Order: sequence, then C-alpha cells, then structure tokens
Amino acid sequence: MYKIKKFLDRNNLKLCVFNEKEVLFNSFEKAANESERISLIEKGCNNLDIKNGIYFVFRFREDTKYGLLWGINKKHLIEEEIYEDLEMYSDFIVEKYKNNILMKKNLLFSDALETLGENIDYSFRVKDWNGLIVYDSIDNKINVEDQSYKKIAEKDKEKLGEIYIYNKEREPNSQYLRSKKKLIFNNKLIGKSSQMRKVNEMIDIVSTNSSTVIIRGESGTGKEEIANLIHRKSSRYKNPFIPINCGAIPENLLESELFGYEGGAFTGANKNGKIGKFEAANKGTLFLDEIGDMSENLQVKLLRTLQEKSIQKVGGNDLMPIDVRIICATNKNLEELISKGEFREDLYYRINVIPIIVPSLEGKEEDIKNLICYYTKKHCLEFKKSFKMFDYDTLDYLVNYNWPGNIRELINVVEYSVATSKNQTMKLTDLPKYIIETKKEKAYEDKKNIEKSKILYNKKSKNKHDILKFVDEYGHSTEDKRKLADDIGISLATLYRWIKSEENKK
Amino acid sequence: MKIIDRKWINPLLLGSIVLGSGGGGKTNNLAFLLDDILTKYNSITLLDINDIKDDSNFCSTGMIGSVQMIDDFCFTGEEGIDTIKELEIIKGKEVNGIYPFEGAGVNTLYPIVVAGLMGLPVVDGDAMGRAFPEIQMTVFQINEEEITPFILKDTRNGIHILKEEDTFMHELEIRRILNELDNIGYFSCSFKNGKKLKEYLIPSTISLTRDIGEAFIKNTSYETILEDLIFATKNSCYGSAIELFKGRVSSIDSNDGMWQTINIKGINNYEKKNYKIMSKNEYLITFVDDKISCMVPDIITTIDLKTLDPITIENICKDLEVAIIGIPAPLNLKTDKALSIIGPASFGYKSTYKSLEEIYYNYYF
Repeated sequence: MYKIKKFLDRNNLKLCVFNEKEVLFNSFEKAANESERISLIEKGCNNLDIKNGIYFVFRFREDTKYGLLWGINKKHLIEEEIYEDLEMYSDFIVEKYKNNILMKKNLLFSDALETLGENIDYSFRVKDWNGLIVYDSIDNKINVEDQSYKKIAEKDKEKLGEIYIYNKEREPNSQYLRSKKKLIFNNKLIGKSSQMRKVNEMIDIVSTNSSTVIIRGESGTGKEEIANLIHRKSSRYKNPFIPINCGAIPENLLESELFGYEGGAFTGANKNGKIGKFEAANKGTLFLDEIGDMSENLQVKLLRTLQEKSIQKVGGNDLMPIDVRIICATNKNLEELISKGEFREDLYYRINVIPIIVPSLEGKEEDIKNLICYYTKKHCLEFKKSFKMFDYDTLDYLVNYNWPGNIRELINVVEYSVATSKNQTMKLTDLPKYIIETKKEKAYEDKKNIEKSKILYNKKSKNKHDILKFVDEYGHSTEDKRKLADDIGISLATLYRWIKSEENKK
Repeated sequence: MKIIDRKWINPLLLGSIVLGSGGGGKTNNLAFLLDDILTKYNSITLLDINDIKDDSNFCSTGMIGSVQMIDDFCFTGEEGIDTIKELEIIKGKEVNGIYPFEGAGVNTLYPIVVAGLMGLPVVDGDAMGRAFPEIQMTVFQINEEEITPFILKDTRNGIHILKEEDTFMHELEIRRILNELDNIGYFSCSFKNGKKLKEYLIPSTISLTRDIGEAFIKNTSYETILEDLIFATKNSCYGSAIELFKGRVSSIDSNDGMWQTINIKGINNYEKKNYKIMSKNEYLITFVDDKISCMVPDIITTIDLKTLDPITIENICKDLEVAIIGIPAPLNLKTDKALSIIGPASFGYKSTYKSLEEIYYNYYF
C-alpha cells in the first residue's frame, strides 16, 4: 500500500510525498472499485491535515511507479469529477514523459492559484516549463479579489511548470533596489566564542556613536585592530584613524606629538610648528594605546582636552576646537594604578565610558584553528607562495598550545612556518623550535602536577592513619614536618595533633 | 559532539545549496524524510572530527547521477543502508559512523538520513567541501587514498561492487552503469578508520552548512543575510563570504553543450558592469567585465534577490535578479596538488588558479 507522509517545509507550507514503492497511481489501478479509490484519496488527504488543500501530481514514472504527489485541492476531492481530473493528470504526466511535450490540458494552474489565493500568507512565483517567470506575486500582490492573477492564469495555464512558494513574512528586499551605499561587510573579528561574540556585538554598538571607548585585554590580543574596526564601521570612516602608543614615546616628546607645537616653541622645534595627533585626527579617531603608561602631567592635559573638546598646542595660547573620537587601550590594571596613585581617577572615569574586554586566546580551540587558516592564507599570498596547510597533528598541537603572546604570537608562528617550510603540508618540524620546547616543558610540568596531586590524594585519603609512615618518609625535623603538612594541605599544628593521636593509639 | 534535531533540517537544506556552488541538487523530499526520522528517533549524533576514535570505522554514502532525476524515484534511505551493509561484508568490519562524501546539495542530507535510520552518528566533515561533478574530486584523491570498494545500488535494486583502483576508470564505470539505467544511484564507499578521517576530511562542514542556512532563515533582508553569511564562513576553515556582484540575468547561453554562460547585467552599485558565470554542473568561473572574479574550487553561489533564497543553476532564469556570492575554498582544496585535481584546469579552463583572497586582497586582509 502507499503511504503518505506529511511534512512542514520551511515556509510552513504543507506538502506530502509518497516514499514507498507503491504509489497512489499504482493503488488506484489495483483498487477494486471507484469508491475504494475515492476513499484512498480521502484517507490520504485527511492524513495531510491541510487547511485549504494541497497541490498537484507532478512527477510520475510509469515504468517504476514511483511518484511524488504535489497535491490536489482537498475540497474537490470528495467530488467525483475531480477524481477524474486526477486520472487525467496522471495521463498527462505519463504523456509528458513519453513525448516530452507540454501539457495539453490541465487545471493545475488555476487550481493552484485558487488554493494559494485562499492561503494568502504565501507569496509565490510561477515559472513555465522553460523556466521563465510567468507570474510573481511580489510584483503583483496576490489578492483573491484581484483579477490579475486569474488573468495570468488564463493566459498561461497551459504553460505551468513550477510554482515556487515562499512565505509572505519574508518581506522581499525592496530596499536593495534603492540602496546605493557601498557596504563594507567584512567587518567582524574572527571568533565564535561567547566572549568574542560579545566583543563583536560591542564593536557594532559603539561604532554607531562617538563615545569614548576603552579596550582592555592582555598584550597581543589585537586591541589596535579592534580600534581600527570601530573607526572603519563608524560614520567617521572617511576621516583619519591615528594610532599612537603612549608607552613608546618619551614623556616630553609625547606632549608635542599629541598636541603639536607652535613654531619656535622650544629649542630645536620646527620654525613652522607641527600639528599634533589630535589635530591630525580631527573628525576622525585617535587611538591612545598603552594609556596606563601615560605620565601624570599628560593625564591632566588629556583630561582637559577631553572635557573641553579643544586642544592647546605646546607654546601656543589659543584653544583649538577639535572633534575627535578617543579610543584608549591598556593591558594594565587601571584600578590598581589608581590605588597606587599612578593613574588619575578623574581621567579613568572620563575614558572608561564604554569598556570592551578582549579575551585571550588560550582555550578557544575553534577560534585558534580559524585564525591559523586565515593567517596561513594571508602569508602564503604575501610571500607569493602557493597555498600550504598544517597537517592534522600540527594543527592539533597548535590548538592545544597556550599562546601566552595571544594573536600576535600566533601570527608570528604561522608566518615563520609558511616562510620556512618547503612542503605544501606543514608539519611539527616546521614550527618554531621554542613552541615545541615550551609545550614539552608544559606537558612535563602538567604531568608532574598530576602525579603530585595523585600522591597527595592518596596521602589525604589515608590521612591520619598513615601519618607516621609519612613522617618517617619526610624526616623528623620541624622543617621536614612543615613540608609534609604543606604537601598534604594541612597546618603544622594539625599535623602535630594527628601524630599525637596516632602515637596514642599505639 | 552536537545533536542534529528537527531544527537543523531547514537550515541544512538551505545551507547545502550555498555550498553546492550552483550544483549538488536540491530536493525537499530529503528534508521530509529527515523530519520523519527525527520525529521518530528525536536526534542524530553529530561527531566532531576531534572526538572520533582513531580505530573506529567510518564510510560515506550518498546519491550519484543526475540531479534532475532525484525526485523521480522515491528514495527512503534504505538504499544507502543496503550499500553500507554490503561494504561491511566486504571489509569484514562494522561501520561505527557515517560521513558525507560531498558536503553539498542532496549529499549533505542523504547521509544524515541513512545514519538516522541506522542509528549511527554522522561525522561533522566531508570529503569534497563543496559540490563537485566527479567522484575523483575528493580529498582522498588529493592525498592518494583509495575510495574503493565502491558499492553502487541502482534504481532496480541492483547492487554493483566496483573495485577499480584507478579513479578515472572507476568514474567511467559508474557512469556506464548509471547511463544504462535511470541515471541515478545510491552509493557507499571510502571505508576509513577515524585516524584517516581526522587527517583528510574537511572539518565541520555540516555545522557550517547549518550556520549558513540559519542566516537565510533568521534574516529578512539581504544585508543581514550577507552579514550572517560572512560571520558563519569567516569562523570556519573556508573564509569570509564576499558579495561579488548584483544584477539581473540578461541571457543564458549554452556554448558547446557542456559549458553554460549566464550573463548578468549589474544593478545598484554594479550598474554599469557586466558579470558572466561559466558553469557546467556547478558554477565554475566568473568574470566581471571580462576580468576573472572567482574560480573553482572557490565557491560561487547565487541568491535570488526577491525571495532571498539561495538558488541552484536549475533555478536561474532570464530576468531574475540575483546576488553572486563567493566563498573561499578551504586550504585542503587550494594546495598545488589539490588544484591539479579540482582546479580550473580540471574542468578544461587552462589558466592558473587565482584565489578569491588574491583577487579581493583588500577585502580579506
């Protein structure tokens, strides 16, 4: 017997398929009488639980008796004439297969439209056998009252080939036709971990405004990259992005670097003066890296600039208004610096408007793998070499490495391997030596720690009762006992108590 | 380890079209079948490549033949089981899991259906990383690993055991068998242990397919679809998707019965430009104003700008407004050795491969 299965497709349009070898037509042929045939259809359609109907028999191969039911309007099914129509469909389809000609007579299209017209939740498109669109309900919105679709149905009813149905909720992209703006889409950082997703989300948020942002994270986590990305995504993207490392420039130079100076402001100064980074970044973004290393004097001046939104050049008297977005970054604990008095609290609150915390790389296996792929491709292209890849073991090794230098270290390792490897597949031997050695040391230490904790566990489990044995093992001096107490994780006093109680038992 | 449940079905169906690079076929029936199986069994285990045991055994399964014929035969997944059982007899070992041979189009879903029916896990990875027209175009061939014995079941329930060592001869033999019948068959092959799979398979392709499909389901505008598509592909071994062009199909020409040229006239930002997609079974090479834009093995996919769905070659028609999206292929498919098997020259385009990343360097780096 045939079997009808009901399904929901992605647009919640109900369809059905026969997936057993005996199909509807076959059952029809075998059915003893007409009422049995009709009951077959009814049974099938009741199983379908469809509101307004299903569609049409489309594909059928006489030789194999395999078929796919695309449906029939349910409300017609109880009527005898439609049953005859169904037979006609099967005739047609067989004929179509045999002679490869267009259908001569059918009711498919109009029936389909009628059904769809009732299910106005769906938009649809009709293509003829040649694959040309004969009707699209997006351009010509479907309405049961609207006669246009019927008109088309009349015109093209002999051309039906495919009805493509999609959910009306999926609004067609009417915007795209008007959109002239060149969109830069490739603007998210690689990273699928929850922390990286958060960073990406924050970048999206902060790029829509001009608030001051502070990026915090370990060294080498790509803080400048993030600052640059925020700039590129913001409305300031056409104006300059100026990065400056506050820790790399001596204090007395940093002031003139940041604010510029007037001609002849100091000995050796350019007589025409110099524009500072603030001025250079006007209407754009200024990235102050290592803000925690800035001297207190400059912190004061920076605070004033941020508050007043204007700068005063070294040796100058005038205040120059500026419109600069500030993004700061640091890998230092600013709160600790404040408590030590090395960082101004007022400046801290000024810059700590929107913090973005960048996670380190360790433990983010999937991200590491994808970053390795990305930088391998980049370096292969940079070195004009054909593409190379790491073999499974090496990739696995790298993924489990702890990356103390974060992405910066990863980039260097990949660059080294791509530059030095002579093979298409890069192996463990192609990695920088220090990585293998560090990993070995770490593995050895891990092993040692595991063994130690094993011993301790055993010791602890035996605790009091075996304590005298351990005392013999470690030695009887106070120093030895202290070491034993440390290893077991108890205080010296407890150890003495245990020894005493065990000795008393004896 | 992940779990494939009913929520995965539609994303997988859509995502598999994207990785199909225009080919690979599409049938809702597989989705229906899978839905049925998942309703019955709740879930199917998806094994991460790193989680598979080195000494467990796996094989791949799928459909082979003409994509137009898929729906003419009511497959049930049982065909795949028959071939796998035959393979188990020949190898004298049980299969502990199934992996897709071609992680695109119908062959993404079919192995999942079979695995569901057999109660086996599916490996999250595949041997092609996209759709390719020939059985030789896999990571196994690139790494000189044999895929035989190859068990083929035809539409009349005939089982054919192919043991040709030469993959080219093997391909010819499969074609001969399929041509004699209905040009569609079901197969299983590449019986491998876990260690080999870890070494060669392109990882996480099923998860990526799901993520890609999700982009189409979740979003209602082209821009957000593209953004999610980029995020999904960027966080994979493939690389960021890129919008290559937007335009209206102006004509579709058949050049020599093999190559087909789809001519597209630019719209929006591409207004004065013309795009050309050269395809055989899949989109293979594209040109923007006669300059190379993307080449196989990089993936080229089309999105219908009105329905916002990914579409295959069969759905391309005149006047359709489409966006053309490129996705870089994984590194496994880009090495010189790989390109000698699946590069543009393997399809008759005698020119050096230029990667998407090279052509659009500023976008990528």
